[in-house]
Amino acid sequence: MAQEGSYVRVTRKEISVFQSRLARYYGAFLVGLILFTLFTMLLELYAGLPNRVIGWLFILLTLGIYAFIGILNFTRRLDEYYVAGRRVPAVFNGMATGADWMSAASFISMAGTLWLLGYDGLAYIMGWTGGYVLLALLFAPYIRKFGQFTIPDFVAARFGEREKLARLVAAICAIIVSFTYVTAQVTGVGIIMSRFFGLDYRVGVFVGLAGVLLCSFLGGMKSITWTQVAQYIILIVAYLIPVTVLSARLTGIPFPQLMYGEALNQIVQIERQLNLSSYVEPFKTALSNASAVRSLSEIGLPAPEPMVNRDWVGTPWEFLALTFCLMAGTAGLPHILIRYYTVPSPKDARLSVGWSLFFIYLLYFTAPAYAAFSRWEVLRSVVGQQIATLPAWVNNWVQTGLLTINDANGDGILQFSELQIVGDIVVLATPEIAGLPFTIAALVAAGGLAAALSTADGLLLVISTALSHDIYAKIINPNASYGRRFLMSRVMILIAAVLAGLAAIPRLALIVQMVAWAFSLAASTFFPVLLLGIFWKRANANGAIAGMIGGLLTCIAYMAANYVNPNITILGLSHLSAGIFGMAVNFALQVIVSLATAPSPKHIQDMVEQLRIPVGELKVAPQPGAVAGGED
Amino acid sequence: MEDQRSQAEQSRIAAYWRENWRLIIILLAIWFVVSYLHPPFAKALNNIHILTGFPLGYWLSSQGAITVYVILIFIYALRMNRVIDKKYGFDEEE
Repeated sequence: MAQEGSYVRVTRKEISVFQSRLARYYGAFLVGLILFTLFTMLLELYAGLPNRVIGWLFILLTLGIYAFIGILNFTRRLDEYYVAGRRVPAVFNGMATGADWMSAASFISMAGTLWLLGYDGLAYIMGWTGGYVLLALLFAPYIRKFGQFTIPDFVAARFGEREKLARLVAAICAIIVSFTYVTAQVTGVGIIMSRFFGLDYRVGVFVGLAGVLLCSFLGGMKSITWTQVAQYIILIVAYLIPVTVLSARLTGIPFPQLMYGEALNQIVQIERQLNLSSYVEPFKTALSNASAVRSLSEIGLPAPEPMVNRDWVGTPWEFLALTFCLMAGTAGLPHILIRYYTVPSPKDARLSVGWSLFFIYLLYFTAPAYAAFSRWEVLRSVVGQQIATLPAWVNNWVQTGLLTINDANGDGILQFSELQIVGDIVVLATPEIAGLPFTIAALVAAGGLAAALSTADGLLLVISTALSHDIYAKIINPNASYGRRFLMSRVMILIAAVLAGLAAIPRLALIVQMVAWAFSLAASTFFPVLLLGIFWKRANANGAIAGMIGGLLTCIAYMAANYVNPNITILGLSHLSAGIFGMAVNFALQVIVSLATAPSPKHIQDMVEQLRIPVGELKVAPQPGAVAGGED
Repeated sequence: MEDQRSQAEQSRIAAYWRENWRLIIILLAIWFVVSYLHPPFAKALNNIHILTGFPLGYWLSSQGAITVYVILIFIYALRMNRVIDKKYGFDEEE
């Protein structure tokens, strides 16, 4: 049976044969998806297929495909279960990373955030893409060269003097970071299910989780990878179609990414006429604790006084700090990092990060266009109109509660301040605004579902491997049989999924914040440890452990304080960029503690040296008797 | 003999690492400039309009920077894989 670390090394030729076969399969899948959509659209327009049936067709078909791919990739080999056999070609790993990365937040909420925040929301666009530059230049090739299964594996080997403690701390950090993030995905699944398919929110959550388990349960990373590629295709097609049609309708040219410049221009002019604050003007978001007040009272704890910090009003400094936190967090998220274990070599890892960002870029490049076109449409044909004669789509969305109209001054005309929207509406309502049939709206819902499920898959795998591989098999019971480790990992996926579902049920306002927090947490824990671990031979276990714990605690403390009371700030930063402090503490502790204690033993320093060579497999020689403090 | 060979090997790795670092620093400098230097001036930059009417400050953050990121990563990957690795004999072994 295949042991850990040993696997069949695939040749270049095999990879390229494999790659062309994959290209044929997924090409056929893309064509099939388009034909199916067109066919359903014809049925809707000419045979009067009801919306409910169309919704169910899309949900069952896409979940069916994910389950099919999941079952097809059933595996009994550990290397396939954890790292997809390390034979995923760079391009396909790029697509899988794209789906892994783009969550419900990217797909549904990003455009809405831009709608609401204007320029200030662009911190998310830059932060969530710029992190890939750090990943490509500083982490990915070395992580692949190291070539184990998990990020705690890396931390444990690099800081081997205190292997178990380092592994335990890293595993706990991975669980905290991934769990905050997965809850948000599960909430996204529930919202889509309830809005488009008429299911109860709670039922939606568990139907969605069943979909996740279908693919990750049987084949681990191998199934997840190939499902994610299919999910990427669905989500990108679903994202691009509505806004392209809307662009063609509003400007005559079906290229939204270029044409929304015109929309921005029009928005600015209309806003000037109406005396509104400008959409493109930077740094005007105030900081309030409304979300904390709501969340705390929802769980029945004493809520603080509602407060708004008006001094704060989005400074450039906060914008830059948030951007940097999101970037460092991106590079330090375990579920993204492990995707680069699955490519054949460090060279493929470098290229694969490029492809990952390219596929993510297609969506992020388009998100501001969604926001601009729908804002233009709202300013043009909703604001300033008679409330009795608003466009039909407005009334449809008023019913869902995502859009609120309140004629405060009773003049029968809708002023901008009388209109309130929930950000998610921007992507969800665009098919209707563009006058597209319901089929396209169902495709968008399927795309959102694909985005949420694919991210949840990757995160649940990280949580379950941290528990079953790192904590159970490496710390608690190193003699666990091979079958037992498999069993544990599947049981852990199930437990993690159920816990994420339960955490998502109360729908706390907190959940939305948690996505942004996950990045600060990753930036405060993994980013500094990986960076110094790879590039600074003198970093040792004591430093890394102190750094991770100190960074994590600092970050959580600052978040909690500023979230509850926005008037508590240091350097004028909000809880969203708490990672800045976590990172600073982590780096400082690592450097000071490492220098104050003995260097790592020689075999570890040799390993760091070997990581630099981009060919061959790493020869890790564990030397239990090695004396600490070996000098060259 | 052994020692000399391993010393040559050591200095080859060291030279390779220096060249890798030089490339990383250059690319990270560009990354820094396109990410962090323009936002503080976004308000002023917005008075300039480009392409189909984008205010420049908004455009740099929403499209300019992220386009540069994609290019930077491909430059790193291709230059390392095709030029620098080859120069120091770290080609694919097959």
